[in-house]
Amino acid sequence: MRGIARTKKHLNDELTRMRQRIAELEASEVRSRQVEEALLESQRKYRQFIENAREGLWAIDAEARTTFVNPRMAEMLGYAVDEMVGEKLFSFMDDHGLEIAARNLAHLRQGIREQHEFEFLHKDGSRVYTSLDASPITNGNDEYVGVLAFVEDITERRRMEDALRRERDNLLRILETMVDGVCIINRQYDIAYLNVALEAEFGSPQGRKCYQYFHDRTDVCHWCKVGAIFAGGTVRGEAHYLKTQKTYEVVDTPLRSPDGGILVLEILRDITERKKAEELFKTLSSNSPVGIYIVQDGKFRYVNPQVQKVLGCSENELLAAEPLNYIFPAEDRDVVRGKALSMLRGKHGYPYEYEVINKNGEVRRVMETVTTIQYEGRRATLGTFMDITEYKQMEKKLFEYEELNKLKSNLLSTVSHELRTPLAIIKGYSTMLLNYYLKLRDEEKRRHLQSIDKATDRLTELVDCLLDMSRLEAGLLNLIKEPTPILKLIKESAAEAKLRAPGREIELKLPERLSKINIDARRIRQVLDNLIDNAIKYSGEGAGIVVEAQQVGPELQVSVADQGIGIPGEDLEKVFERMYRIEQRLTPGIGGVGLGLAICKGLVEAHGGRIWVESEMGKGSTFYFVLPMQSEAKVYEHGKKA
Amino acid sequence: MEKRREEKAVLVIEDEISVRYFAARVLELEGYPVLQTGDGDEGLRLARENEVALVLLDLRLPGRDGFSVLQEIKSDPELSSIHVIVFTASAGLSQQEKALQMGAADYLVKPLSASSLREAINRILRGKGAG
Repeated sequence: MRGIARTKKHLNDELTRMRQRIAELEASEVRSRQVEEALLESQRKYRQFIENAREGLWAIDAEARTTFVNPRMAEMLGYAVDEMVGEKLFSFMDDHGLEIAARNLAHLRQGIREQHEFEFLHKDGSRVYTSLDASPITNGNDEYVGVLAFVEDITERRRMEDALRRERDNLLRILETMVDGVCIINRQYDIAYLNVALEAEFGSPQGRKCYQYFHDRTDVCHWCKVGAIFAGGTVRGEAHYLKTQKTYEVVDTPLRSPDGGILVLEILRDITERKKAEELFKTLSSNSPVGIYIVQDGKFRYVNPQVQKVLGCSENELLAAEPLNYIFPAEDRDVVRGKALSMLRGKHGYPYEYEVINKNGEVRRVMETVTTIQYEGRRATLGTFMDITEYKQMEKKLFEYEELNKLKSNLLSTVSHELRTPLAIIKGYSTMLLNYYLKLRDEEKRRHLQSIDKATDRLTELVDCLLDMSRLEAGLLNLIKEPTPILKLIKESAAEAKLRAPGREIELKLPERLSKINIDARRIRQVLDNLIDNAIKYSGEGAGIVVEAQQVGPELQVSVADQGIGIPGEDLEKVFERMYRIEQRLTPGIGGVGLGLAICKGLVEAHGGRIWVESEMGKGSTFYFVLPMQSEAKVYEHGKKA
Repeated sequence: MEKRREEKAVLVIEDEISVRYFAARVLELEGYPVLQTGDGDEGLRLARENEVALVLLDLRLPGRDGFSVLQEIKSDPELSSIHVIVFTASAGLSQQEKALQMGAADYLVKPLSASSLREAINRILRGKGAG
């Protein structure tokens, strides 16, 4: 039994060995299963990562055929995963891309890792911008077997970058084509940027500081606002730059730089022309002799110095005021306003005049035109006026002067006529007597000689009148005043008038006694004669004439009343003017030069008295004159002293 | 009584009465028949209706002006043969010239003198000086 026992032992040993081996195998199987599981687990994890990666994963073999793409990669290019697998890399790019890819693959084959951006073509033909990180894959023998790349879709980023770049280009283009100068200055006064306009104006910066560049200064300008900008906000001002001899409007704004610091954005606008225009306007406006103003919403918005001068107010006083208030008198305001509106509407073309009252109470006359303008975006009225006060006064004087001239020539022609009539009589009748003395009847001769006599009287009268008038006007009239018994004077005048016009009734109403009055008797007698003669002249045969005298207060009042044709109301003052005569049709046949009453007035007023007339048409007139009674010669009539 | 020496009359057209009467008296003393008026139109009517040898015409008339009357007399064939002596104011050289150009025979300057009036009338009507 040794043989079987041995065989049995062998078998048992074998079995045991087999069992061991099986146990080992089982254990190793377990182990390998564990490993396998671990492997599977890591594989799963790995797959998960690949499947869900944000980046695309792309593997190609040595022939550049796609061996693997993750879903992200496929999606990136718009394909399904199985559409891409097996396809050559080159199918997903354009010709230009092909060149680049080929080059890159060459590098990769040599084992060089490639990181770059690359343009693929989407399934729909659009471009996909990517950033890829590719590494060569080697086998166990370090032989190149393909490439594995991580691909990031940067299309969006690229689009944003492009947009940004376009914007920046636009901005730059704007800055470059701007007429205004633009520059950016930093805290250290370096010029970070300046546009074409500025460069054209001031030249190339050449690394200079702003104070060197703009002003040729070696140090920061003491007026520099750049410092202020860093502290506060926008600063705006005007400055004249000596370097270019121009005036600019300078606007400085703080600007945040990308690195968080503050820069100054400065914009320069050339306002030299505008300044010149402003200067010109100011000069014209200030020195203009024409008042210029702007009214808006019923108030003064602008008044030039001439307006201030005419109205006597300061600019401040006027800018708050309503223009209409200055029109004088107040009742005229509506009329003036109406004229202004009429002109604004285009209906009334000529300048209109009106009067204003200034602060000093003085009235000035102005001639104005108005027109509609735009002021600060709204309708306003621009007015211009000239102060024509003096001009109008001169005009008036001229008119008066011309009237006087007319009067003078009237006087001259009338006087001339009045002189010629008696001259004609004298010449005519004297020559007639000389030529026909023997042929003429005695009675005729006498008549002619009487006519000559009367004519010379008339001439004398005329000459005396003219002389008196001249003297009165020249102020050369010499009054010889003496205490005169006025009652006697009146009585004598009336008596002699009766001789001149016999048959005419002259009634006297005089007080019993009257103190002597200091007058030039001859002249006052002249006045009385004239008034009484007028009364006779201008009233009919039967009409009565009354001469009255009485003391009224400190004055002696004398009146001569007639029942004649009367004097029209509007002429009651004019009668005392030279040359006044009632129209010929009312007084046919009554001649005269018309100086009489004017002389009376002159004589009475020379005594310090007054003369006037009261009248009723068709009923008659009463002429009054008063003379001051002097208390010095208190000598009554009849020679008795007081 | 002055004897009537002439058939044809002398017409005086003068609005100032004293001057007219004066001229008329001189004419009378010289023996001429006299017609007189103060109005130009009336004067023309008298000239047409009567035998008039001479007109004494004042240049300054109211209504129808003296020059117009002169013009009418000299342009109307019926009247053009009538002599005209015009009266002018002293300052009127142009008036005198104009009147002569218009056909006046002579002019007399106011104030009128009896001798110069007499001389002018006789010269023009009788071809001699003071008679």
